[in-house]
Amino acid sequence: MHSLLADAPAHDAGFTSGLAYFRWLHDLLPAPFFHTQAFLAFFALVLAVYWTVPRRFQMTRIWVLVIASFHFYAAWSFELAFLVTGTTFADYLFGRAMGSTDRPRVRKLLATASVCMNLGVLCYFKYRGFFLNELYEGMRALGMDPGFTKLNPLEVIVPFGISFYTFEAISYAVDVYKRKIEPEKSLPRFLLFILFFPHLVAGPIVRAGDFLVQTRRPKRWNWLRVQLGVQLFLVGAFKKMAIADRMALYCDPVFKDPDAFGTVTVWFAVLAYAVRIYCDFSGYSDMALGAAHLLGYKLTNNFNMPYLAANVSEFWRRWHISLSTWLRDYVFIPLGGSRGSALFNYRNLLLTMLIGGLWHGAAWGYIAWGLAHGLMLVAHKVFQGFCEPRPRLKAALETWAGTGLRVFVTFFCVSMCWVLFQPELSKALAVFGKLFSIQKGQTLLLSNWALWATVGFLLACQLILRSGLWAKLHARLPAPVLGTGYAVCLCAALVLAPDAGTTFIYFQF
Amino acid sequence: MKFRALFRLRPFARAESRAPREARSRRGRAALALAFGALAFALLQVLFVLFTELSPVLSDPIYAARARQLAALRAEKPKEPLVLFLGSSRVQDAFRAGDVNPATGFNFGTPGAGPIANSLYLRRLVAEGRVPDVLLLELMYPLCADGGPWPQEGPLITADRVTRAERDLLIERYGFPGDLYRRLWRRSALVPFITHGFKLIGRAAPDALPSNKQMRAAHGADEYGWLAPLESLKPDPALRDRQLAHYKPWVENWRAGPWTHTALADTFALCREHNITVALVLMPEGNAFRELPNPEAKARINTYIAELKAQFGCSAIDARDWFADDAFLDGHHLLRPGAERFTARLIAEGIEPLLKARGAK
Repeated sequence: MHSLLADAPAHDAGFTSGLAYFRWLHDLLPAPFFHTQAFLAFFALVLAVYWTVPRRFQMTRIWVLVIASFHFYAAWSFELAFLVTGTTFADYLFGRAMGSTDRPRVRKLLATASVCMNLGVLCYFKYRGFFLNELYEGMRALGMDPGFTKLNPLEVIVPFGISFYTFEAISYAVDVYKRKIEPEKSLPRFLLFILFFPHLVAGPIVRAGDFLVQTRRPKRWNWLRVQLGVQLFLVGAFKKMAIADRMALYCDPVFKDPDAFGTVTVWFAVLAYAVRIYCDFSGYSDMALGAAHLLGYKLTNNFNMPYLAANVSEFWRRWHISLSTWLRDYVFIPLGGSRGSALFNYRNLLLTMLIGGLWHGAAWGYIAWGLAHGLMLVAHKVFQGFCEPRPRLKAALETWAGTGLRVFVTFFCVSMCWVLFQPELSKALAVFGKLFSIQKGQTLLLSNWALWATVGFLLACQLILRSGLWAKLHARLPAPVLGTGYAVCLCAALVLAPDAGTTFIYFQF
Repeated sequence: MKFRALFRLRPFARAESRAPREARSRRGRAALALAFGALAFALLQVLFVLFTELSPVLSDPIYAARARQLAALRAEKPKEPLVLFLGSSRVQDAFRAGDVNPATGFNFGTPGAGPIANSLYLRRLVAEGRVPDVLLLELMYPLCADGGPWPQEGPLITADRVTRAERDLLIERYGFPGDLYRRLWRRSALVPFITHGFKLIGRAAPDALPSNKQMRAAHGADEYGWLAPLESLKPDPALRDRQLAHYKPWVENWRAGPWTHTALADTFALCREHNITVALVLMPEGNAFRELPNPEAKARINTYIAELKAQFGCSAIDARDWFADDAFLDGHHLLRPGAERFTARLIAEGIEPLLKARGAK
């Protein structure tokens, strides 16, 4: 991701001085990554200003956050920050307009206009390159002259988090149209709902109903909440720096050039990628939740130990919860949901997951990934139907061993699907080719025990959390022990982070 | 409860119902945990910095590993005279120090070490009480080249590897860029867990790092510090060409840099102070490497060596042309048979006369 600032022309003095300001901002905060020293400095400043404003000046506090959020985005690209703010303002006006009329046709028209505008911006930035290139290839294959040149996908600038805030804006328009929520009257509150920097670039996808209510509650400094926020931030940083970035050392070289590596190394890389993507995204979400808590806001929990899910359906109730519930509420249910015949239900599942795949990226790999998950959900439904009249089989699957087997099979299937989760389908197919035919090749310079140790550590943490042991222990631990634990966690994250950290996988969406 | 009571902010609060009191106690506990967390983090940072300042085990693991090996060897043979060979990876691969007899030989070759690094290492060794009787000092002339405003070794001796005193020495005497080097050193001291993180892992669990980041110079070396080249290795022309391309800018128009000369002078002064017999050694090179400097540069190198001999009153063993190209892996690192022959000749022509001269004194 490069900044647009480098190529921006200077038209006049005012523009140039404005440009210089954003350039300076970009130097201070070059990338919106939570685990960087630059972000921590920015966040410390925001926290200080935000909590210094007296509680009775609630609207001032909201403006502080709006301005901070705008600067957070503008530091990466000020043009796109203005674009996001502009579309958010338009969504606000659409909402107000819907609230000011009772005529169903006008309301429907306004809601449609809002959805189309958001989807239009999304398609322009995210899908234009993909569709034009596919059209180009198709026309060339048919021997026709496309009349335009092929776009280089690397040159197409996709605004950070566009898929996330687009879905938030769409859900707002639909909810206002369906009268599930009242249109927001306050512009700063609405701007904060979309631009709030902890969730702006990689979610979780917040709902207006959950967030806007919080903007009305006066915020008090609460040490319990601060502790929770710091804990979440530390855990997220540890997941990202100590696990996800470390796992990238195992999977990145292999996924980049699968043909060069042997079968065993590729299997290890697939396992490492499954761990990496979970820790990368859930680590980011934890940091977002933690940062929001420190500002007195609660965001939707996005993950609930997804790799302990016993089936794919359960996996989607635990993985990227804010997206899966969004897809359920705004795609699956409007399509007809589980009503009607089984075939109709399967079609809805496939379509929903296909859209889910396309949401992640404009590439065949993501489409195949969404389709594969849709097929797995259908297979699960069919299997459920098969087990229903067979109580002994059902009971066997409910036992400890049966559950363990189901968890393993689910993890295996999900991990296989992660292979598809990349822009180039050809590389994914090359990985599959290596996985299922024994071939010799290079091995990584790393020892595999570190990978197993990470998997074991992660599994142990999840089991301790799931058993409720941590909740009990946390309540009983003396404050100094807990505090030392925080320090050790942070130090461990810093020590274990590889010297060349990677970006967040979900930032590209 | 007593411990918590110590931290209660309002010990004389009026009697209240149980629920608010519990809520306040939980809030107090949270604040205390965070305060302890901040304090513990700061303390761990300070301890880490202090540790790196006092011991090179974490800050400079390459040196520390070699020094540890040397200490173990000296503990075994405390009475024998010590012949120490300080130098770069050329020395590390080429000198089978175990062959030195009747003295104890030790190969202190470390990758990328030139006159400045060797000077620092000798200072540390002397400060730790490991004073050699005879010092063979590699004259790695590419690293003595004039590198413009900074010495060639500047990028190799990173700020996180040195103590505060060494940092000042490098800036004041060896031309390291003051502001930049101080800033880098301060940064490494401020965030020691980031700077020294991979060194810590390299020490605790080296297999968790890619092999090129493990910083285990002593790994695979024998007890005398020799990192024997694998028997299976053969001359690699492609590798040689890459190495030649790497060294060409330093060597082609070679001119002596001022900073390395200061480092050599300091090393010799330290040796005089501790009665150490010193000889300069120019390590073997393949023909392509020897031909890398242009004729004027070659003449300047030879004049420089002669001047050093005259100035410091030392001998110089010029082994540059001792071997043909097939003795090298990449044109300047000897293969195993070459290393064995080099050691035998070095002992006969260099070490034994030095030991005899020292005995006669």
